[in-house]
Amino acid sequence: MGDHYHPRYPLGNPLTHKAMRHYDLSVNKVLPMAFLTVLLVALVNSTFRIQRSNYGHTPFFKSVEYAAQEELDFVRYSLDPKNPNKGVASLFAAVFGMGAKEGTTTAETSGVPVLAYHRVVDAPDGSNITTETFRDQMYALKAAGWNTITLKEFNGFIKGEKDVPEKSILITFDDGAKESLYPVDPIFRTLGMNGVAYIILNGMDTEGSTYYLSKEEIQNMLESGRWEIGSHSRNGHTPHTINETGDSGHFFSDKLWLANEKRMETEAEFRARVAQDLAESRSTLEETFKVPVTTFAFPFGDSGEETQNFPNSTRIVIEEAQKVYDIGFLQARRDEYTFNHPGRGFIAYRIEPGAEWSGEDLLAVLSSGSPKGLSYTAHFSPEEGWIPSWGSMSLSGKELSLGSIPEASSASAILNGAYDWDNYTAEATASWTDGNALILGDVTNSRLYRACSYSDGMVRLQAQTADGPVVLAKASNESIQDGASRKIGIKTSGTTISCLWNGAVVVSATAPNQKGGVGIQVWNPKLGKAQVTVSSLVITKN
Amino acid sequence: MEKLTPLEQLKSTKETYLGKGIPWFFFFVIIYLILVLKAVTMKSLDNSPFFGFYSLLITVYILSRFLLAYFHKPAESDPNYRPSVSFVVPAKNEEDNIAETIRRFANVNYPADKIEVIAINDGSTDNTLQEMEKVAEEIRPYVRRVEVVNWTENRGKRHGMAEGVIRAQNDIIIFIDSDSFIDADCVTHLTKYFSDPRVGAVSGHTDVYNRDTNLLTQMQAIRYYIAFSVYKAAESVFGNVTCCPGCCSAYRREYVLPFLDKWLHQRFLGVECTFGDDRSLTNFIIQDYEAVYSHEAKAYTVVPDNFRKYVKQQQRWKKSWMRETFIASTFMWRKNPIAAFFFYSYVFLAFASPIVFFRAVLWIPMATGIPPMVYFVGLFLMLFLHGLYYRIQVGPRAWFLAIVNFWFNTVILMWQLPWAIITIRDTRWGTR
Repeated sequence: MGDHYHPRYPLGNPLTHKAMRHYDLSVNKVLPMAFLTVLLVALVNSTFRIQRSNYGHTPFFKSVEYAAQEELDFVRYSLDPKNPNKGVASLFAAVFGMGAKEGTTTAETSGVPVLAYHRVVDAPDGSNITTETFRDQMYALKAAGWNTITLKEFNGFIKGEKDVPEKSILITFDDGAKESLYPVDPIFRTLGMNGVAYIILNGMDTEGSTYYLSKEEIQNMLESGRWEIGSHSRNGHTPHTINETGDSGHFFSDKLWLANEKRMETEAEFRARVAQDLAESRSTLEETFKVPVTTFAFPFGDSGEETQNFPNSTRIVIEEAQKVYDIGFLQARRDEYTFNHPGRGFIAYRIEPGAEWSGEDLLAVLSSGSPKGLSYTAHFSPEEGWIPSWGSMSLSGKELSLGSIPEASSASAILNGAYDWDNYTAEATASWTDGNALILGDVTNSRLYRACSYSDGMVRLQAQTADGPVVLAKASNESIQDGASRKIGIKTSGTTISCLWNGAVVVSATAPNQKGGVGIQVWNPKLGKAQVTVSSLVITKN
Repeated sequence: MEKLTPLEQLKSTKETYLGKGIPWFFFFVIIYLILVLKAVTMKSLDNSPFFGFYSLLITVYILSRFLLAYFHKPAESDPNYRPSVSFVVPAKNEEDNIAETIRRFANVNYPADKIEVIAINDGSTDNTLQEMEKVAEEIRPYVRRVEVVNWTENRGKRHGMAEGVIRAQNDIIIFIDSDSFIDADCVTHLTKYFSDPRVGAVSGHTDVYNRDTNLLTQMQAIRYYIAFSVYKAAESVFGNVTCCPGCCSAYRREYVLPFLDKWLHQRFLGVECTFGDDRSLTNFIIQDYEAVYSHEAKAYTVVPDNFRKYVKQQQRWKKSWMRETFIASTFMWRKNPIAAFFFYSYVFLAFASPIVFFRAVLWIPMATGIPPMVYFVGLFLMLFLHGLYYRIQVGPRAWFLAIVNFWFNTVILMWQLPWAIITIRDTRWGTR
């Protein structure tokens, strides 16, 4: 310690000094802070503006979660070595906006499958598909050369105005749920695919919903170019009271209970109600998003078939829907071809991939429904596409066995992928011991077809129409007998239909020309006893 | 400090810009995130005005601290104004630190004839007295006067402080804790504020001496730094620092004397007050005068290095905070309206925070099954903001872990206030 610690200072009088301020509000202090404050407020404000314009009334944190999830997924899928749309290249392609579509110049197809999904979820919930399985299915589609078409293209195809290449597919998602978009879109982005969302308008308008997509999100979907929309009704996806005791039913298939007036709806009121929803949901979507809405997906895949109190509903609903839309979508049934063809009618059918289907499973289902060329030899493998319309069916790879269930008198199966067959001779080797064996031709679906029915000493050429069965012609022939390896056949040539026994025509009739494939049926008045085995089936073009 | 060549100066400036620019950027990113988070939660709290109000107020309060601290201006030193000072150090069983504490009084850049040292041995049972006497002889040539007062029986810190005030012959009393060490420029920067007659007390800036001992002391280092350089600086803008702490603060003797006796025998709820002496003294001052903060007057203090001691100390502080805040509430409304608004806001926030915590962390998760993510993220962001400020101002010293530690400790610290209310009359943890 030295003297330098102790400089001498004069003593000041504290009370003679001026009051001081303890803050500094000079310009070079205030200005930067004012700038920063304005900047921060502007940033926060625009954050909410962006959130609002992209995610609408979706809660903020949920929006952030979706945004992060989407981008992460997109990068993850792009780098995924299993991705058939080769990894990094597609990332760059997507980032720089170059379409990743390959120019597949294959032949055009006569039938297009449509897939129907609902939500794509993180963990199995018993009905919806998981993201992982969905991704597997989409990878498989891409790898097998399937390409998505737009709803517009599908529409043109169904109207017969536009050809689409082989392996064209339309992918749809019902309900307009957030989980139909956010897990799916990154996969579509990396694979260069697109889809259609069927919007429930009441869902869309649910303020703050974390389940349904908001208007802004739908608008963004449309702007991405990967999505189109259709109507899934405004009010048709919630349960409605259909009687005094309060049971609930479907909006589009049941008359409702009018609680205020304590009575059931009349038929006219039913018609007005469904017509109003069909029209209003379309016009609202069109006005909101400025896009044409020409298709409708029936809620629950029910256009009246599941009615509890109004058997006429199907007719009325289809009539009314047809007034508003070009196409009405239902889920594929056991009695219909799974692919859609021009001129098939107002209803288009959709395959609903199972939550547990692998990509391979999906491809097998698609290949079984793919249009089959003529001539054709059946091989009776489980993947061939035999649709068991009723009764029980087994396929061994060598033969097809068809039997009625214990309480029934018949069984029937049709061959998928044969919708537009025409002018052919189908010959089968069938074995049965009692009752009638039938070979079907001109099969529109399992309710509309022509058939040759063989029983002891008798052949009947009959037509199954919307109004029931009609016998067109019949003939007695002693040589016709049940037993092993009988040769039965049906020939359809223009307006002439003939039945063949051992390769020779035994009866003929004329009827309007009708396209369609083949099927097998068996009938026995003794309940549970109908049984036929088919060991060969060859269809040759005339 | 050694001289730098212009090139080195330029380099070091560049490093400083880069070294600070990035954390500053993140500092404002955190503020942005906090604002977004708050705006979102405010919307969802529409139907519970109380919690919405809390959420809004705590954000305004904390951000206002940084804003006010930014506008805080230190006084300019007038070489013609050098009032005489008396260091007052009461000590009990402090043989390890007391010599160094006192030695530094002779080592200050201040006129020696204006320095007086009064050390009070408050009934120590160790060698504190011997250490005091030894160091008194050592410094005697470098100061005007040294006095060692020896009490064989312990009377308490407040009595020691009061004794120092009475025995002091100089204008400014500087209280230094027996485990605190001052910088050579400390006195100059404390006394310069007293040229304004309104100023009655000046708090120095105390940092943690044993910062690098463990995570707990690192955490306290951040707390100390922020409490002084942000919170006290913010209060100082209005001359309204609510506590000029005993570790290093200066008081104008002339203003203290009139209420010395009242302060010495302060009773609260019928019990003699044996802790929170500094906060209580400041409270007397700010009723009529100003109390300010000098960030240049630096001192260092030893903090508890184990959790048990730390919680006890915090509990003591919370009790005195309770008592003195109650007293301050009776007159604070007369002060500057902005200062008063923030004072009462803070009182509300302190009492409401355990309720908000209970609702966010226990009630809502139990009722809805939603984990309290937003609450904990919000809390973390706030602490992170403080941590970043420390990182910018002090340097990259284990600040992040300390913040994480702080985050966990918040849960414990928050419940100290209700506990302090329950045990307010229990004086067993009185200091010394």
